[in-house]
Amino acid sequence: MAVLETTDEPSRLDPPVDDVKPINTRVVRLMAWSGVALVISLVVAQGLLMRFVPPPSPAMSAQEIADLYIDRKLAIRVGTLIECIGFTFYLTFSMSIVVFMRRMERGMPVLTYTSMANNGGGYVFFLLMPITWAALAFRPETLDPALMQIANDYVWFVFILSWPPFALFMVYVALAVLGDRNPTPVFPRWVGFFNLWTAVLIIPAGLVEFYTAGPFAYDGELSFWFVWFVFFGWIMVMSGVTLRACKAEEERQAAVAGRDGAAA
Amino acid sequence: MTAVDVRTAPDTAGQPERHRRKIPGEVGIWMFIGGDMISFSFLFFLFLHYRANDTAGFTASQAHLDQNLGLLNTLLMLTSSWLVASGVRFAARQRGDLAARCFLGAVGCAAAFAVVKAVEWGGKVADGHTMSSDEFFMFYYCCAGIHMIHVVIGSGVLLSMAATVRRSKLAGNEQRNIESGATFWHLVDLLWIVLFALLYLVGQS
Repeated sequence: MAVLETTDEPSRLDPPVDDVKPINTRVVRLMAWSGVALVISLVVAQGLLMRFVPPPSPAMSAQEIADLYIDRKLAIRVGTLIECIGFTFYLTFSMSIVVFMRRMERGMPVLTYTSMANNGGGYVFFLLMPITWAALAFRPETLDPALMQIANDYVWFVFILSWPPFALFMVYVALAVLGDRNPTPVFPRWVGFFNLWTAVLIIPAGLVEFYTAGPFAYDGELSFWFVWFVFFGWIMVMSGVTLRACKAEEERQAAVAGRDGAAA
Repeated sequence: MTAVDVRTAPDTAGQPERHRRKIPGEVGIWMFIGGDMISFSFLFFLFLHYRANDTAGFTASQAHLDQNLGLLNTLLMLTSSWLVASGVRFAARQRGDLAARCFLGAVGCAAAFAVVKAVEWGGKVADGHTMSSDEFFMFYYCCAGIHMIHVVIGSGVLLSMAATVRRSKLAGNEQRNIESGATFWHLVDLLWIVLFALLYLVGQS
């Protein structure tokens, strides 16, 4: 057996590598690809249709915000319909990672359980955004502009201020990857550091509370563009990493099947 | 079994430590540091970009800063980095007791850094310079705040390093983690030095 990088003895509670339950990689592959679908739906729906990339400036007046929703109401309705589907994929995408985290953990899979609860709650924030936009575009002519301004601010706050559960999931992934004691790590170790990095990088998102203009406002260079590239880039990278882990799992299953066939 | 670096062990066995490892820590931590430096560079670029549009305003606001407090914090950061580097050297020689003392000393410097920052910020707020006063003070609070998050995370890393080296003998992967943690702390120090130069010194004659 290859020399391990760790001195930890395998726990006798853990099954030998060949005995671990096989993962249905066909389903997990679909789930990993759903992360890519999420990003595409974001670009098409929110970028091209709704033209909310970047967000309308928080410095705009209430009347300007109301006019914007009246002008774009049809595009916003179509866009939010697409985005409701696309953003639901945050759950399937994140669970494709969690399935492999279970492989990394020994004994009671604490990080796996915590991530399941975390992501189940997290994707609700995603869905809240298109639902609120759709409600605003439903009868924008009759709504009080002041009310629309509050609701519009609220959507962007839901989007950007809800960063902590998403950053914490990255920390859970990092802890699982860096604590992986399998002879062949499930994810490469750099994935752990990459997740720690992205978790730290999206922290400045919290500054949107303080500014209506400049780099830290919710349409700013840092709190919007930078945080968005990091977060949605993270989704793309993690989809790729999970697809590679699926390939490795298929090869492992084939090797186990070949050995069993030879033994029989 | 003694844990060794599997990638380099077979052909370098018996060579001195400094030849055996090419880089401190592991590749992943350098990726993290590279990434963090890219994001801070972006922040520094934004600062200089906004400053270029309002040089007079930035210089006027900058005059309210106390350079001595900034310098004091720079010295605290440099001292902490020196302590961390010494601690790593003690840890490599299996002097865990001295290494732990160095790491705890560095945490002490970090705590002092935070106290100085709190005093400085408290004084500024009392004088009416808050994070929404103007663009200079926006950067002054936000950049130093983002850096302070790094100080807090780094202090947690240093505390866990101190707890690790207290144990009698370090395994190979623990030695590697110590180096990774120390490398992160040097980044925290380096970022402050750039911030000090940008916020307190740029444009002052």
